[in-house]
Amino acid sequence: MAEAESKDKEKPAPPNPKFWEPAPWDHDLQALARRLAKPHGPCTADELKVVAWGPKQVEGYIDVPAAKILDVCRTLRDDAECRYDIAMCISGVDYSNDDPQLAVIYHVLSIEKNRRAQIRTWVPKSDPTLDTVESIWPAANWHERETYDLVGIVFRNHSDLRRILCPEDWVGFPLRKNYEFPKEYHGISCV
Amino acid sequence: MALLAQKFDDDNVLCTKVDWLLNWARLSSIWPMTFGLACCAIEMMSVGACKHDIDRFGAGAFRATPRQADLMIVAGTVSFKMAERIKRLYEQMPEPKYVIAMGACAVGGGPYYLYGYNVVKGVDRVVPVDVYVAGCPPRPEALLEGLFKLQDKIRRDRILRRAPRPKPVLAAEPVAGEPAGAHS
Repeated sequence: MAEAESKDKEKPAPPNPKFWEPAPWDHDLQALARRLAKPHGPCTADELKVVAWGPKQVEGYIDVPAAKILDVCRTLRDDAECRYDIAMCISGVDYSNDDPQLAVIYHVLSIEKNRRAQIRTWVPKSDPTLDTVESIWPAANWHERETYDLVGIVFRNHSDLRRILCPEDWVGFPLRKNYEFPKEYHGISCV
Repeated sequence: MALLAQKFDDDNVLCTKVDWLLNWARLSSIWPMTFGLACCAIEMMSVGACKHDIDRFGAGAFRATPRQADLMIVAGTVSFKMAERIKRLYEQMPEPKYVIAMGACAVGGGPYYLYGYNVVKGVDRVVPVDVYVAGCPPRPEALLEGLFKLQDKIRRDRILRRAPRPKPVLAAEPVAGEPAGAHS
């Protein structure tokens, strides 16, 4: 009996005992922003902007410049304080017709640290191109195809940038605010 | 033929109408195609399972190929990407073939009618529909009721007196001896 108890004590505790609960949002966005700034990350401090809300300011975005998205994502994955190893979702947002820019939001998860975070970047509607992060998270392949399909953001150096949900000959990007519904598709009336 | 089992001692002659016999044979063994597009498919599976058991009515043999099926149950939301596949599957089914539009989406677009840019506003814009089953999703009993309505429709069919089905014509193909577009 005593031996069994001692064996139980030797068992290491699981790293995340409440693994069934969703990982909390990154509780210190300012610390994450400092980590993305030099010398750890690629950005300067004034390029990063923290947009937080909630009672404790725990949920929000960090706006990063579009030109450095590849380096930012590499820092998110590889930095010892970050370790965001899963790209849960990459989505494009068209906030308004008056807004000349589109947003791309990266939701990332760290298994090791049990944390989630959101990174947002902006691209102009006149030239909505952005570097692919497929080389960092392979799962980004389909996320970026979906973002291209529905919002029309073109990812540079993507290995297979085709529509993923709509038919290949679909016209327009349906989740743009100025999207016009088709009148008919292949002889089938749409109205 | 179970109806006639043990009814006669010797060889015998039965008198019936050909229409009745063919219709009876058709409506008693409607083989549906395995074809679920969205949440309605869950109800369709329930119809096939033991509690509701569509096999009691001869329609339980879900076929995995259109070439062996008589009935297409369109169970779910039809997107434009799927519509062409549905049309192709329908054309691969042998005559006589029937279509049940199951649920609000297949009947008329359902909740996606107004803002669903990718949803066909009713599968009857793609293939001819025999029975519409309303609901979102319909109860399994409702789909069974739709099957009974289809059986009633088959029972009323007059195969020998029916006008022949017009042959399909390609819209862009000029008919010999007539100017192009005469039929359009």
